[in-house]
Amino acid sequence: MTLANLKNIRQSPREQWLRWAPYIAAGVVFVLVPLLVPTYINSLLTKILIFAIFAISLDIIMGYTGLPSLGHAAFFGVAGYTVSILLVLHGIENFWLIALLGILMAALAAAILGIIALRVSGIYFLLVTFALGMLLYSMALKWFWLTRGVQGLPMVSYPDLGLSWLTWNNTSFYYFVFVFFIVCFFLMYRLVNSPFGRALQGIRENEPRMHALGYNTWLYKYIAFIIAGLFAGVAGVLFPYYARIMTPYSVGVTISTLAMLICIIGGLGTLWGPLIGAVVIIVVEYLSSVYVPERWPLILGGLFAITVMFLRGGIAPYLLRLWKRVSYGSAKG
Amino acid sequence: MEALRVEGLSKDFGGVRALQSVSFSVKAGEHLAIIGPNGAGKTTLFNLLGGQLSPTAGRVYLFGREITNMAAHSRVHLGIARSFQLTSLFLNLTVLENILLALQGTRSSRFQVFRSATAYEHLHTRAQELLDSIDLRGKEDDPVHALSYGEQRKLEIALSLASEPKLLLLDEPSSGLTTAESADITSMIRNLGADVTVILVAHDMDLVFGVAERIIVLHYGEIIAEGTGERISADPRVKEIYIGEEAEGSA
Repeated sequence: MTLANLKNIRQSPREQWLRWAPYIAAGVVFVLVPLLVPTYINSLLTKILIFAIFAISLDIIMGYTGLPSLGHAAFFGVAGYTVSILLVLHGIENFWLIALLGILMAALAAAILGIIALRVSGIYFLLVTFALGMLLYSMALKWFWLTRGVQGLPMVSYPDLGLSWLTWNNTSFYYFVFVFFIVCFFLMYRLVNSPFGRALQGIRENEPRMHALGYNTWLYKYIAFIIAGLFAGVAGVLFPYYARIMTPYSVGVTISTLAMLICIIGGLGTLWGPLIGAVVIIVVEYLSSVYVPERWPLILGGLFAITVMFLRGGIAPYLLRLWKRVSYGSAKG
Repeated sequence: MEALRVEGLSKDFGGVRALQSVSFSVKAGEHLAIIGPNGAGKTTLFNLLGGQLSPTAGRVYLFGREITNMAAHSRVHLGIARSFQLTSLFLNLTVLENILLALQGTRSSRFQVFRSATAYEHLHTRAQELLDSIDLRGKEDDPVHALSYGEQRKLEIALSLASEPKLLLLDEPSSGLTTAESADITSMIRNLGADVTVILVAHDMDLVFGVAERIIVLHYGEIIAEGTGERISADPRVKEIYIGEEAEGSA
């Protein structure tokens, strides 16, 4: 993160091992476990990764740039609908083509809505993005000729990659999504650590000063908004293949709020925080749907309250502190 | 050569006229101080020069080019830099990150989205030089909110110097500092070199007389006196504003 961390690389082998242990653990969970568990768990992991991509894209504007958006599902939904409409209503099956179009449509939507939303900031930005999200939701609901309204567009096929040797099942689809997750995470990691990403953090901290240092802050926010929309679009392209149906619900404020809660619970401005948030929220959602269906909103609310009260800043910074304490303690002992 | 020319600059806030038809010019390399009591319009003038505000009337020229309504960030690329009266830093970022943001602001690499921000060696070298010049070496990884007020003021000035400006606007650079720290700032401004034009707003008379070749006195948004230090300190109207007020205050 900071340069201080980079300079402290001179560590004993044991410390280095500890340093990499969380990555190895995460690698084992996401790479090896899917081979060993029942397929419904793979489906759960797939959902986690799709929502992690989506929430991390929100983290770029909300956590790094300081723009809390309540309409982020608009880009998720635009991409999902683009794919579903082309596939279901027009019979275009080539995944690469419709995925590309879906992502471009999401970026285009962000470029148009960004011009409107970025005229304001702070709480007004929250309200305007909320309103724009609602607008897209009602379009998805009312434009029956395009979206089939509440019926939704059923997706019965796996992505057609043009690879005849590939056999699709829950596990191979999981790895397919995993590759997308790794690529997106890597690109977003590079983005937030680039000069552009640093400038976004400067804007979050003190926008007038950035202006006075020669940064066209509006342009930065606008580009960040489009990039975030583009990555939300990647998640949106994958989603209907996972969910097997695209409905207006996926464009709505529920999904926007879910992404925001994933970011807040996981830890804003960290990138891997939203991944942890997605793991926690999707797993708890699954468990609640099995044992106490109908109580999910209550549980989500409780989870949120607990994070805000006891884990200020989210689970990720808390885990980081805990990990430092553990690795420091064991390095001494 | 003329660095800055201001013609008939006025600014209204609602019904209040903060600045009334102010005109002056500054030669390249000159050190000009603007003084005046609180509410005289000094910071408003700075905000008009820096682009934080747009004037109600009048024009501003930088090296002969009109910049009256140019955005603040574009002015930086033409060579204007400013510091703020109320310290305006990135409090949750480290000292080095603050300086790097300032250094990157006028370079085209600021739009680079893929390369790591730590990969720009020449910027790091330059950042270390700036840190040396304000005695903050060794604190580069401290978050700025952990610095003392005096250190923050110095960092504030270092940020405005990072873009290597041709025209430097310093708004109360020494406010709230001790006499020794203020003397540091005085020598720092003196050592800037002949190619940097400086406009300074200050209440600290040691600083003003220590660095300024020419002084402009603002009072209720108007220029009431202009000239060298001796002329200003001998001006009866300036005496009335300053000494008169002080005499009343101490009575």
